Amino acid sequence: MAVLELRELNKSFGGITAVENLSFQVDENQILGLIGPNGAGKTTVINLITGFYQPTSGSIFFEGQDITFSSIYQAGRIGIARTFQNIRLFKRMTVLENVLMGDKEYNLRPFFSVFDFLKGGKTKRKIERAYAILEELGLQDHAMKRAGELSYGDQRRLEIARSIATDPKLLLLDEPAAGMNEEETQLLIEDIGRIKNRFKAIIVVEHDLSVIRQLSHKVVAIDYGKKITEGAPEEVLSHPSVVEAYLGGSNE
Amino acid sequence: MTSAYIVLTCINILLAWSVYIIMLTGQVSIGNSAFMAIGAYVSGVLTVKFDFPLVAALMMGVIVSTMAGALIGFPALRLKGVYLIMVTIGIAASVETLIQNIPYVGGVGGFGGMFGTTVTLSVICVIIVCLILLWISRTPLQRILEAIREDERVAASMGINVTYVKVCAFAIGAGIAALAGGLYAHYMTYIYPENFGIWASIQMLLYVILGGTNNLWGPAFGAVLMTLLPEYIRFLDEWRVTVFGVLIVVLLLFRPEGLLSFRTVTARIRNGRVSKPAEGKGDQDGRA
Repeated sequence: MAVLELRELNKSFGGITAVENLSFQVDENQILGLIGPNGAGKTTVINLITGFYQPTSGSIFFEGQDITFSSIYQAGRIGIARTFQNIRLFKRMTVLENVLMGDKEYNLRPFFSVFDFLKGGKTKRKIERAYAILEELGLQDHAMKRAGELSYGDQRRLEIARSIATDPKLLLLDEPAAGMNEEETQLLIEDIGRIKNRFKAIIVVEHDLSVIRQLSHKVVAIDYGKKITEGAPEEVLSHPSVVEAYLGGSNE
Repeated sequence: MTSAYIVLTCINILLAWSVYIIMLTGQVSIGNSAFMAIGAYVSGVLTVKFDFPLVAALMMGVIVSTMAGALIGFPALRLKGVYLIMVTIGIAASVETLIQNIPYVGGVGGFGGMFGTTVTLSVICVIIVCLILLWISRTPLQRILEAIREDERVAASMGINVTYVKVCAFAIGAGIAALAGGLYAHYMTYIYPENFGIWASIQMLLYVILGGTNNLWGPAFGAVLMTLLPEYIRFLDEWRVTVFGVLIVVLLLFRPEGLLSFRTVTARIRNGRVSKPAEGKGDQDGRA
C-alpha cells in the first residue's frame, strides 16, 4: 500500500491555478524527490498534504485513509511531519525545548502534561530521548542555546530534529538545502541518509538537483502546478521538458 | 489605609494574570473587565440575595465566568490580531450594557450590600493563583502555550489542537478575572457597571505589557507598580496623570519587552545528563 497518494489534486487561489490535476504516490521505504522551477507549486503541494491549505478538488490518501480536508493538527497527529522553506523554529526556546515540542504525548493532551511535574522519571526519559535525537544530528552541544542563536545550517538541522521527535511516518522536507553551500549540502545529504530509516517515506522538495540525484528513488517533476513527468532520477532529470523548464528554453 | 493598598494591589495582580495567561498563547484580550464583572455580580448576588458564604460565592463566580469564557472564546478565538481585539472590546461593552439593563442587580444605579474581602483573603487568592501559574510554568504546558504564541501553525503541525488550547487559556483567564471581580465587589461594598468598562480592561493589559509577558512575575510586578506608583507621585496634583502617562511611554521605550522579560527554561540537560528543572530558576535571557 502506498504511504501517500495524491489523486487529481487541484488548488486555485482566486483565478490562479497553483496545482492542477496532480497525481502521484509514494511507496514504503521510498524517498520521493519533487522538483520544478521557482513558482511551480512545490511548496503548495506540501501545504496541501499537511493541511496548511485545503485543496479545491481531488483527494489525498495517507495509508489508505482519506485525509483530503484534514486540518493542520490532524495531519500532524496521523504521522505527517514537515520542515519549512523559510525556517520556522520556536526561536526564543532552547534547542532542547524545540525538540521536546515534537513530543506527541504532550501535544495530544496539553493540559494533562501539568501532572508530569510529579513524575520526574518520565520527564527525564523525555528529555533524554530529545537529547538522543540532537546527538543523531550533531546538535547536542547546542542543546541549551536558544534556537535563534544557531547557525543557518544548524537551524535547518534542528527543524529536522523537531520533526523526528513527532515520530512521523512521512517526512516532508521543503527545500532543506536552500541557502546552503556545497559542503553544507553534502553534510545535509549524509544526515538525511542517516535518519531515513526512522520514516516509512520521505518527500524532498528541492531546487538543488544534486540533492535529488543522491537521495531520491523516484522523482516527480512539476511546472505550473502540472506534472511534467515522473520516474527514476536519471530518467526524469534528463527528460527534455524538465531540462527546458529548468533552463528556461536555453535563454540563460 | 495600607490594607486598602494591599487589597487593591492583590486584585490588580490577579487581573494582570488573567490577561497574562491569555497572552501566553499570543492572544490580546481587552474583554477581561467583562469577566471581572461577571465574577463581581454573580458572587455579589449570591452573598447578598442568597446568603452564600463568601468563598463559595467567589467560586461560583469563577465557575460561571470560566464557562462564559469558553463559550465566548470558541467563536472569538478563530479571529486574530486586531479583529480579536475588536471582538473582545465588544464583549466588554456589551456585558457592561447588559448589566446596566438588569433591574435585578440595580441597573445603572449599581448594586450593594457585599462585604467580607479582607487582606488575608486577597493574599490567599493571589498565592493560590500564583502557585497554579508557577506549576504550569514548569511543565510542558508552558512550552505548548509559548509555541502557539510564537507560531500557531507550526505548533499545530506538531499535533497540537491550537483552538482547544487557546479557548482553554481564555477560559482560565476569564476565571481568574472573575475571582478578582468577586474580591473587588466584596471590598468596595457597592459596585456600578461602569467599574467594569473598557478602561478597566485597558489597565489590566497595561500591567502585563509594562511588566513583561514572558513570565508570571512580570505582570504581577507591573500591577504592583501601576497600583502604587500613582500614590507616590500624588504630590504632583493635577500633573499626576500626565507624568504617569509619560512614565509609561518612557518605560516602554527602554524596555519594550517589559520590565521583567526573562523566560524560564522548561527543560535542562548538561553533557547528556538531565538536571532537575528547579535548578534552572530565572535565566536572564534579557530581551529575547
